[in-house]
Amino acid sequence: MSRRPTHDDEDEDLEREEAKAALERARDAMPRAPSFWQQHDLGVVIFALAVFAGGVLAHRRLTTPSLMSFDRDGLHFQRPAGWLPGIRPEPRPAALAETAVNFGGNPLAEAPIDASPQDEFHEIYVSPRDARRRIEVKITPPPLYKNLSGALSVARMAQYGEMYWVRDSEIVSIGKRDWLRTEFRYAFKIDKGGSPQIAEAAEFATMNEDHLYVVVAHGEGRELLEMRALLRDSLKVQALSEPQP
Amino acid sequence: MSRVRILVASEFVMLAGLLALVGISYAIEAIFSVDTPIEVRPISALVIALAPALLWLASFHLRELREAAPKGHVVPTFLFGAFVAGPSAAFIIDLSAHSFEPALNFSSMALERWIYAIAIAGMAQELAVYLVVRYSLYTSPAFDEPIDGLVYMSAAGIGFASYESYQLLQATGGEIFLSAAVSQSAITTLGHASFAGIMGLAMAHAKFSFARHVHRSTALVVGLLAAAILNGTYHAIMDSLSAQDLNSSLWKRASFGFGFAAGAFLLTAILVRGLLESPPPAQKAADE
Repeated sequence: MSRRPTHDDEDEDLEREEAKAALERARDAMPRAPSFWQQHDLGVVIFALAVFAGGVLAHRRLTTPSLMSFDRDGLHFQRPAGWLPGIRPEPRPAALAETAVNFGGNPLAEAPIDASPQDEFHEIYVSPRDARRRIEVKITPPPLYKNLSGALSVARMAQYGEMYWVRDSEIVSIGKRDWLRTEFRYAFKIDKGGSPQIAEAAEFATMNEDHLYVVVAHGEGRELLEMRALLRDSLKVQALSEPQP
Repeated sequence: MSRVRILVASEFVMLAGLLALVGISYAIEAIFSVDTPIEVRPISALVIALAPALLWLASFHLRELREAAPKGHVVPTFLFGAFVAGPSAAFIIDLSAHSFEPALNFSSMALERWIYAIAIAGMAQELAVYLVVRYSLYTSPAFDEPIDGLVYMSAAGIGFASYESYQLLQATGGEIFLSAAVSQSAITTLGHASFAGIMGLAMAHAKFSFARHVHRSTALVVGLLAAAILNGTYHAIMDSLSAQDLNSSLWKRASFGFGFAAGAFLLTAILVRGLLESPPPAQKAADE
């Protein structure tokens, strides 16, 4: 038979409860050690980085240039819409100048200029911000040489002279078609009296039935990488028998 | 009140000194009929970039002599601002740059300009200056009164401004008008010292208020945002003025730059008075 709780027992229990409550109140009143986040105010840093990242995303979205399509003779790619209209470069004189001479050794005629055939297309699109940033397009009949790489190399030599160096050349697959991508550097002068500069370029070339397509992006550093990516993502060749856009 | 009087008086002395520096450069050009850009070599660019900073540091040193504030921390903080905050911010901003043909928009009110100025460049710069002081002096015994927030953050901001001024002078390609170079340097220093000073006031309030952590963090966030917005607004308007008619833009830029930076400067001076009028915690505890 259990003993009935006495008045003393009840007092002890009450004192125990009050002591426990007082201990909990004291524990709550004590200042807690700041957490790692609070110690270093990491919330402020995270907030600042979030604002920065949001600004970067918004800025890129607002400043991504609009693109426009180039479509001709089965070749399609995209370029910045804000660039200047296409420029047809002047035809260059023949590499081997031929002059007629009389018996006295005086030239009778000017060296013949290699006029581009009617079925050749050559245009350059230039950035209004930097004239060195360009996309050059050539659509020509296929070369006499079956070796595309060799033919392109000869063409580059004729265009840039001795001061040009190939950095890398490989076959890449773009839109289920193989393109020969060549990266090279060349020396140039903006104008006759200017100092020589080194430019970089990335050339994409492929054949389609009766055409040789050559698209060259000129620029430097990050801009060239971005142009190369733009061409890689947008280059397409359509069979000439299909209806053109 | 005497500390407030000393502080405000020294701030006006510095402002007058910077104006005098710019005035002297214009006078040199007028007296010697220098109407062409001068060649700025790295050493002379460094001298022009540091001249306003040295004026400021001298003013801080004079204040320390009167108020027995901790010695030896202002110059290292300035160096941290120049060699740590400056390159760090430049690196982060460069990573964010849209390299390929950003869409051309010549409007000074274009949204993308303001986003870049405030959220990208402004925030990166002010965050870099804040971090330099936060992780060096903020938790040290050297930061034991509210005025230290203004002093150390201003020192770091001036160091950052010296770095930026030097980079701007180097970017001119080695030739610049002397008055333009000195104006640019003075305005940049005044502006960044003021913007960082506002953040310094927020840091002082956060450290010495006895509010909960969330309130302290809020004060820091508000201070950082205010500094970034002032920084971005200043640079956005300065860039807009640069794009206008070249003949008048130099005077417009100089007038606006000084006016804006001086306004931010005065705002800082007004805000710090409230902070100085409450005694530091140590004295509060001793009084109790």
